[in-house]
Amino acid sequence: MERRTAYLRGWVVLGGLAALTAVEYGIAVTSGAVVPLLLVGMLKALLILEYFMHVSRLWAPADQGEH
Amino acid sequence: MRHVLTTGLVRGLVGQAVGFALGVYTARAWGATDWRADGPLAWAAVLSVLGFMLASGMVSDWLGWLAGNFAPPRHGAPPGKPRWWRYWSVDYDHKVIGIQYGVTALVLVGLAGSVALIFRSELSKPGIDFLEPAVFNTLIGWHGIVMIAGILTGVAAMANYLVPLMVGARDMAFPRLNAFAYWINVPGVVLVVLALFLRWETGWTGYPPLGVQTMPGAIPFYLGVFVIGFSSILGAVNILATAFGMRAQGMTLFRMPIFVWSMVATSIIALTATQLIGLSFVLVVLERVFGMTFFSPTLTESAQALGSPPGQPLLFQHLFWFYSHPAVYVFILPGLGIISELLPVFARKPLFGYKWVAMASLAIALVGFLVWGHHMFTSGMSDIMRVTMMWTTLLVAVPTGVKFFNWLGTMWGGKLTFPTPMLFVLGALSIFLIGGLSGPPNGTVSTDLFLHDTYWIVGHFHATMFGGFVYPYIAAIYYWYPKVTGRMYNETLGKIHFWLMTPAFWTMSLGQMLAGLWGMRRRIVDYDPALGVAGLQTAVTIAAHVIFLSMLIFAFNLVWSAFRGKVAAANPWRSRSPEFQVPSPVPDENYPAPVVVVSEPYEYGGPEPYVVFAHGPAAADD
Amino acid sequence: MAVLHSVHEHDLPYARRERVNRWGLWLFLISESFMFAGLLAARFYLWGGTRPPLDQTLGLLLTSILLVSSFFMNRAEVAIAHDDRPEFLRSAMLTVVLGTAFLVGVVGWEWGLFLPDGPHLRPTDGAFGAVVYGLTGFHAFHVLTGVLAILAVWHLGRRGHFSARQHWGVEAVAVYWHFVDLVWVFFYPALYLIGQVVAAGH
Ligand code: HEM
Ligand SMILES: [Cu+2]
Repeated sequence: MERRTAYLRGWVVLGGLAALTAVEYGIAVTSGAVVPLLLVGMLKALLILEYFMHVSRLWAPADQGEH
Repeated sequence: MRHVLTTGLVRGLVGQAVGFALGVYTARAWGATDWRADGPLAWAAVLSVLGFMLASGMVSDWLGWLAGNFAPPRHGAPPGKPRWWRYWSVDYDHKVIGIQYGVTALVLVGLAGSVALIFRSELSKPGIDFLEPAVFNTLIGWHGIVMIAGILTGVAAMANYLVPLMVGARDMAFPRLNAFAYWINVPGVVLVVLALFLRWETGWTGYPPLGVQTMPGAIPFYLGVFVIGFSSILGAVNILATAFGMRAQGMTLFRMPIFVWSMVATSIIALTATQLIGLSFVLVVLERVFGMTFFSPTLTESAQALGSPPGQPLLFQHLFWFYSHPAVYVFILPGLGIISELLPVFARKPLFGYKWVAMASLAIALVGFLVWGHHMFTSGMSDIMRVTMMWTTLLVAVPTGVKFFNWLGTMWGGKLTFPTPMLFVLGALSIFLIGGLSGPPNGTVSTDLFLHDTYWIVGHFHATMFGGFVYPYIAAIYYWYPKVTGRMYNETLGKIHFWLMTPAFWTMSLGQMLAGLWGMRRRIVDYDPALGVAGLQTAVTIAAHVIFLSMLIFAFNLVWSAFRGKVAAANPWRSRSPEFQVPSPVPDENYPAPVVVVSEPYEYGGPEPYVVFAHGPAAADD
Repeated sequence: MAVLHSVHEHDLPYARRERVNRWGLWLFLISESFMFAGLLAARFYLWGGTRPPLDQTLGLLLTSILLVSSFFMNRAEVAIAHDDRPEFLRSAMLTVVLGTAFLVGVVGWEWGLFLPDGPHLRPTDGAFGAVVYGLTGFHAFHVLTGVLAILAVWHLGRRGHFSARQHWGVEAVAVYWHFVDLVWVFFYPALYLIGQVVAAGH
């Protein structure tokens, strides 16, 4: 991936995480229901797992892109 | 003498003593008056483990990385040191580490066994003869936990020595981590030994609230077990990475030797479940040191003012058994793997239903996560949990049964021979059968209400552990002894060992079960003569001594044969496994050339070998 | 999964070494997640549908700090993957600063070690105190190890180690750091958001 796009993606993911955290806080102060809170948590976790932790590199073919 | 002082073991122990002293000293400086109080003791114990780590050299390479030194791990004997030195020091060769684990296991089993003889003698007749109750309680807990440490190190011994060889690799995936995982056991065991002297009364399970209230030995007990568990976790990481990342060319998953499969299943459990016993033990330590009441149901005034709920003793049992039930499969799955590995060799027949055996290991491991509540049937747990856990428990019998029938199928119509390893395999089958059959009555709520905490349970788990671990481990030691040492063990002594140990074990285990049925409770120093179990207790005590005697013969055989035994051939058992296609003892670099798998592992009588070396066919001398 | 060839050299080729390393790291993280799951289970077992009155501003602040630190750690990894060493060093150092800020927040405010009249919730305060201090303590310990690890790769990076082709060390530390963040993604709602506050506090 090109450097510019890679940096940009970082910003986008951060934006997503921030928005979800705001939603989370909103749910907490209004209803405090467990299930929606856990769902938002899951979404945040998925973002982190894929874009920050690169979980898919685990099953990517060995000689692809990353060294 | 100079060389002795430079071994990793000696340096590490000195480091541990220094770390401990430093902990006591700083605690004093901060105003502690008694080093045996929970806070200072825990602090000193933690520092002592760090001291061992730094002084033994087990983290030196990693610290070197900080200085930019990224040399690959050292292989081969260290220059300028005698040959024995590497076995007492940090070494990265998986075979050396395997031997280190193996000897450690035998030492631990020997120590725990000697302690058992002491309290067994106390129990041989009613009345309190020579052990104070507090000492008795400490000894049974110590026996249990040190045996578990011995089993875990024994499992790691087999895994370390065999898995890289069996998958055709030069070493484990992470040699440094491997050495770290071995050596971290040593300070852990030292802490557990300290617990013996400071005493604690909970038995090996460490249940709070007693665990919070009992003597100071509880602190080194919990922390020592935590450290030993950490070793299990790191070992599991290494074995899984080795089995999946280091296999020889052509070795598909279903062409792996079956022992590797069983280690994969074992490692999945050790990797995940072990965290929970570690956690539960650390939480008790936190409760003792900082008064964080996870488990004690009492509330302080200020907690009441906050409206806080109380701690719950049952939480501990859930966390603890979420590990400790699966842990019993950590103990037995490798042993069952050894049985599956050896039977085809001594029956000269393919392993019956290879895939079923492999999948049964995984099934046992996975279902094993869902049954922990069968240890809590009498705890006041909800009925829904009790019934669910009863059914899942009975379900485990299915894959276990699959394995049994596969073993029978393997032996059926085979040309059986009976050297010592095979005797121990058959002994394992007979004993594991007793142990397995005594399980379902415990797993059924209605019967367990009567059996729980009686000697029946003691008989049950000794039979499963002997059948599932001790016998297969002994079989494995005899079987691979020529591969490890280059010499044969003494066959006559081996047979004597077997024929002393096996009837003695049956007597002991069945005697324990019977005593339990007659009302003998476990973990109690004295009993009512009116129960009528005194005769059984005497028989069990005598049997235990005979078992110990047979193990001494075993130890003698191992040591004596290492020097005086017949020089062993490369492949004394005519095995197809890769490690038997190279000279005995296995050369430093394992294989002369890359291993290539060309057919099935257990095609005894088949035309093709299992593996060849990339530069020409395997040279099996036989 | 591709069957990998047996290798006889002492060390594997970098690509394969890296792959095995990656599996090893993730196996360890799976293991750790069982421990954190156990802590979460303890929280739900002991608290059920209640929670203590914790400082919401602080909770939100800590969460934001950690998320932003993850952003910078990711940026550091991207930078070194493109041989942008100055950006790598800058971002890694920012991550360290944010991680330290998180630690100070937990230890100084939530635990009240720096507050003049101490914390309003003490570790001895029943299951509330035990769980709050237990969960934040275990997590903070991991944050601390993460900060030290980032400092280590930052130090090596300054001395010219790591390149676009070979930077497993940075990747490993980054993945670990994000994992610690991931844990907080669940700890934050479990401690601060889920359940009813039972007492007014003060
Ligand atoms: C396969 C090897 C096995 C091993 C190594 C093993 C080990 C153990 C151990 C160590 C204990 C006692 C723990 C304690 O309270 O201190 C125990 C208890 C128990 N075992 Fe096993 N076991 C095995 C197989 C089975 C099987 C096949 C079943 C049932 C189908 C079973 C059911 C139970 C139950 C229900 C208890 C709890 C009994 C009680 O405390 O009331 N076990 N086992
Ligand atoms: Cu069990």
